[in-house]
Amino acid sequence: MFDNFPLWPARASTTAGNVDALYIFLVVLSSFMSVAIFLMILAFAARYRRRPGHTAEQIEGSTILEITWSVIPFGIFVVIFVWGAVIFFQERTPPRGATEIYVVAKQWMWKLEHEEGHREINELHVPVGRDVKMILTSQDVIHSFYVPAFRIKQDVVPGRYTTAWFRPTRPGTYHLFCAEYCGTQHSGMIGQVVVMEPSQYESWLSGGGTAGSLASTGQTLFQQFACSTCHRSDTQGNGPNLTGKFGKPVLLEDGRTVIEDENYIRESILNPSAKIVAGFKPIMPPFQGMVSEEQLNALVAYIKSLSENPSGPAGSPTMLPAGTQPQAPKAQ
Amino acid sequence: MKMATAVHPVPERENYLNQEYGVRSWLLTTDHKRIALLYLASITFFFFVGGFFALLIRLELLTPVGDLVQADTYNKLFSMHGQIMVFFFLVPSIPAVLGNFLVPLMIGARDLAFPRINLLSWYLFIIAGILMMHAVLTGGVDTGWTFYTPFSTAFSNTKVIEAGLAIFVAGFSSILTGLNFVVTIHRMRAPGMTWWRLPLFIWSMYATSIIFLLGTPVLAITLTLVIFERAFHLGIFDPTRGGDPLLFQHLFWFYSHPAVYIMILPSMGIVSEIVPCFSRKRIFGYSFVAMASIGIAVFGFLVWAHHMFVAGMSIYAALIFSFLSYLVAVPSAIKVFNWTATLYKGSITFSTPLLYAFGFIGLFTMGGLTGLFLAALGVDVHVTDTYFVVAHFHYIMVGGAVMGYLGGMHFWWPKISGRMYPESLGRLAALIVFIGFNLTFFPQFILGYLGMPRRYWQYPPEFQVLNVLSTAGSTILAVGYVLPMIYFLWSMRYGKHAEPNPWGAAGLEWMTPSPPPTFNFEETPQVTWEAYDYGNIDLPKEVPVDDMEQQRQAASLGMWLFLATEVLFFGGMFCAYLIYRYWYYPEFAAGSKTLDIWLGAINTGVLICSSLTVALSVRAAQFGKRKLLVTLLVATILLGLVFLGIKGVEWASKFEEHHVPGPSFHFEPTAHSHPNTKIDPQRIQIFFSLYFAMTGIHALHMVIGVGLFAVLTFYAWKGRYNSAYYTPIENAGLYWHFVDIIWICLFPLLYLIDRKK
Amino acid sequence: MSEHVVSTKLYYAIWIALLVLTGVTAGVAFIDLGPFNTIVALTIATLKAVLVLLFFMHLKYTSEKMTSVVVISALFWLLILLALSLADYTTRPLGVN
Repeated sequence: MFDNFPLWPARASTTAGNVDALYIFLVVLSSFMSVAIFLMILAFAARYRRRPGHTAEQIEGSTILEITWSVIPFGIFVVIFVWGAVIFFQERTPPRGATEIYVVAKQWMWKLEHEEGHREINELHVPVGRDVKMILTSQDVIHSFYVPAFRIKQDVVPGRYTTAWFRPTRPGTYHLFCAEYCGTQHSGMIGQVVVMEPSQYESWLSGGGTAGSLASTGQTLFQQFACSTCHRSDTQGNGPNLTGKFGKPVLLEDGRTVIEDENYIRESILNPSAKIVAGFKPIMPPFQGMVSEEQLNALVAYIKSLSENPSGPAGSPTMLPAGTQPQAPKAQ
Repeated sequence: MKMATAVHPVPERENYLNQEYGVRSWLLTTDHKRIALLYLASITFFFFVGGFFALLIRLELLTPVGDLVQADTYNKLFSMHGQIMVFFFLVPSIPAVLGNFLVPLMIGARDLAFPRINLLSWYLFIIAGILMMHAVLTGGVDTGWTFYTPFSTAFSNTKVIEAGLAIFVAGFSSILTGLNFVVTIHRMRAPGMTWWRLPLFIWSMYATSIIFLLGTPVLAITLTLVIFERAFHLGIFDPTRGGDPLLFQHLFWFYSHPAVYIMILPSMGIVSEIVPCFSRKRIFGYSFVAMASIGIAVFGFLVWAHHMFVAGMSIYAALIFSFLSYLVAVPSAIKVFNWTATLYKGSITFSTPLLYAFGFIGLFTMGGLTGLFLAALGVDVHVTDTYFVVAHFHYIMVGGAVMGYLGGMHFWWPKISGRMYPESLGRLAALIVFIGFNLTFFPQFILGYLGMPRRYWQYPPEFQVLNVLSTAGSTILAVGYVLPMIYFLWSMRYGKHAEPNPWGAAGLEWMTPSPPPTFNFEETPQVTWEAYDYGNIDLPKEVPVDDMEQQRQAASLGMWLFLATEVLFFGGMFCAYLIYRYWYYPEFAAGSKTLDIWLGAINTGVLICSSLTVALSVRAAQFGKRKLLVTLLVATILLGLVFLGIKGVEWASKFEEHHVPGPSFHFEPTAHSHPNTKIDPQRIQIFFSLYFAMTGIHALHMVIGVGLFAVLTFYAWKGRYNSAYYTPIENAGLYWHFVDIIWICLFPLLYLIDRKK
Repeated sequence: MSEHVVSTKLYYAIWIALLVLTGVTAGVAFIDLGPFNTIVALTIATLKAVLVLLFFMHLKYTSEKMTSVVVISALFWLLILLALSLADYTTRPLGVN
């Protein structure tokens, strides 16, 4: 709009336009309301200023007016609420088949790992037009992954995964900020997101030397930590077979059911006894403190890859139906 | 409005200011008006300290690179700016200064219900202030005013404990102020001053007090848990032990969102006084404005998690909180419309207070409307934690609350000081504040939407232009704030003497001389007119009040209100308990089994016995049986000591078994748990953290109770209590029973989890 | 003097009831009632708290409406804190961090 004096950041994701639309609606609404109130105050102040021969007229109030100016604003608020909620649900529901990027935040840098095994620090390369799902965790304090051009922000919380997704629409280089205060160099914890044309992206991918995909790193670790002795790919192991389980409900020993997602895998590596799969014994040692966040990410990626359907529609924009939210386990 | 007699503005007339001189007469005063002035001096000091930090922040942000101060220094500056401005200026500002001064005057009382508690709350505030300043001067705090965990508990190397303690004590001070106001408004109104005749400022003070009483204790317990985690390794929010950092945020915002209404409601009350006076009209829709205050106080408690939409909480909870946030916007809108409607067909004088009131309405409207952006989930994701939020809450807290405060100070300055301030300078200052404010904070809305995060010491260069504008505005704003301070001080010596009612305003406070005599009114006024009856007002007649009975009821109500705050204080821990028990049931069960159920049961019995002796001692006091009373009180003390002794034995065994959270924690799962469940040694620390926090704070209450009863025993022995006066015994008894009830709940929660074989 | 004077007999009766309930709650904890263990323990605790509140703290006898209003408000606000916090924790994916 104004090149030297912009009123909003670049719109570089599919969400950005939706957010801006509601924002502009709100700006117009607020300006109208503010101007109306200002003008009324000024007009009354001028028209009814104190002068000889003029006295105030005592008015008690009016219930009808009160109800009117309670109900109408409330109606408008409901519209804003629904509109905002719809955008929010789109922002919070990653499409199936999105490319996954694991992010580890620490004081004061971003470490990002691509599925293909590329590692970046404070810089993220993504191609235009592909859905990207971020799986975020922190090594120390709470950070927040914020890319204004995509209009997305997600706090990065130690001890668990949070997720965010976006689909870049315009090539360019955009700011990546930490938006949750995290200590001394909070304002230095900034990086950039480079959105590239798919062809450029392919050549960028092939350029950097890589130790193999994230899942294959995970596979190596899976052997190293001897996970494979119990978690066998048949039904004979001491631990459950992990093939084809991701995203599906798991029946637990105590009768509860959980959906196997990233947070469940994470918990089952760090504190295996928390949720024992039905039919198995709590014999796995906890790995809390024995694996780094990066190793954990690789293991999660590998275990997820065991469930991948090679013919799955990559980048398909289908939303998860709302009913896929798992049932929260009941406390006894 | 006509006065009965033209009260002569002779300077020698005795009033609360010249009745006594000397430091002692001020520091030991129980006169609510003098205490108000003590507060005025203290919060003005903190306002300028906080303002100084704000100017340094703005100067640092003049350039994109961090060149004026170090990053660490900058982080401390914004943290201490927030903490000082929120807890040491905004929260106490209007309630403790104007509220203290005006509540008794406006309802026709001689003083607040508990004058000595009022003085105590000022001393608590000063202790808190000294602690805070000590923290500031010996290194400062860098956690932000929000104290988010785990940064505040495990990573910050600054004076977190001291600042937390300071805010805890300041919170206690505001709880006492709120308690005093509620009891005063209930018990001390002049004859004829019915609820629907109360000035709207009183309604807003009442609503504010509700928040003080029910919100502040949750902040207190939250900060206590942070301090426990830092000082004693109790890991209630520690993610490495399975704790949830978001739980801290829930508990923190349960107070800190309503705290915004603590700041804005009193200003709304002031505007509701100023607008009718200077438009010579009854306020439009009195009952709606009054009820809107109560509505804001109640609904304000339902919306806290809208600060956490991107924090990682459930999206369904986000929906609920977003919707509730719109509910609280309705009463605010009602107020704005009613003030505007009040001007209609009025007879308007543009005096300084009215200019501030206009400024308030305008800026509050903009602050409120931008709140809609933040409650809209989709937009909030983009603008939260950016300068948009910074601008929004400064429009509410500075544009709203501080504008209202200044308007109120000008409106009642003649009453407070007995002098007029220079009117033209007043208008000029109001204009400067308005312009400076908008120049400072409006650019920040745009900055925020462009994506500049808050709490940034340096920033990308494209944000510079707007930051320069903002810094320029802040210097103008500073001039606008210094100016009133100068002419107020000037007017105390050189200002024109004020009439009792210089504005021709309605309200009892204007029917007594300026400044008022020590006991406010020559005779207790009798109210026979409606509020803001700018048409016709009858003259006051006097009616005596039954002082003794009034005091007894007031004290009892005060005690019950205090217990209500205690419910919420423990409530914060119950909330943490509930959530972690839901998550980590096996660990809770295993932890519970390590506790000695019989010691717990015996202790419950001991406390129940002590409740009996307390109940009987109240009865003994009612019948004036001195010896029996003393015996029962001593028995209570002994039972209390037995309880603490058993508690001590229990704790000692926990230390020996290494069940105290921290580096030396050790837990042998097989001994206590079901053979088929593995117990996580980290997560079980959460159980023990809660165990120590809950029983520890309960034990502290016991210690206080025992101390209280020791004092009462002494006085009972000296024969102070009889059938006509036994209120202290009764109130201490209420406290003791309450502490008993807490233990009755703690016993099953901690000792009885999964005991079955 | 508006304050009600309670007879000593009633005090002793309440006292015995409270002691008995304490014994019952500790004893019942060892019997396996499934989820009812928690429910029984909390019900007894509530009952005991109500007894103390009504009789020892004279809530039953007070002529003062405000006292009940204060008690109810305190419990209502506690309920807000617990219920709305749980609104988050019960609906987070997995219900577990």
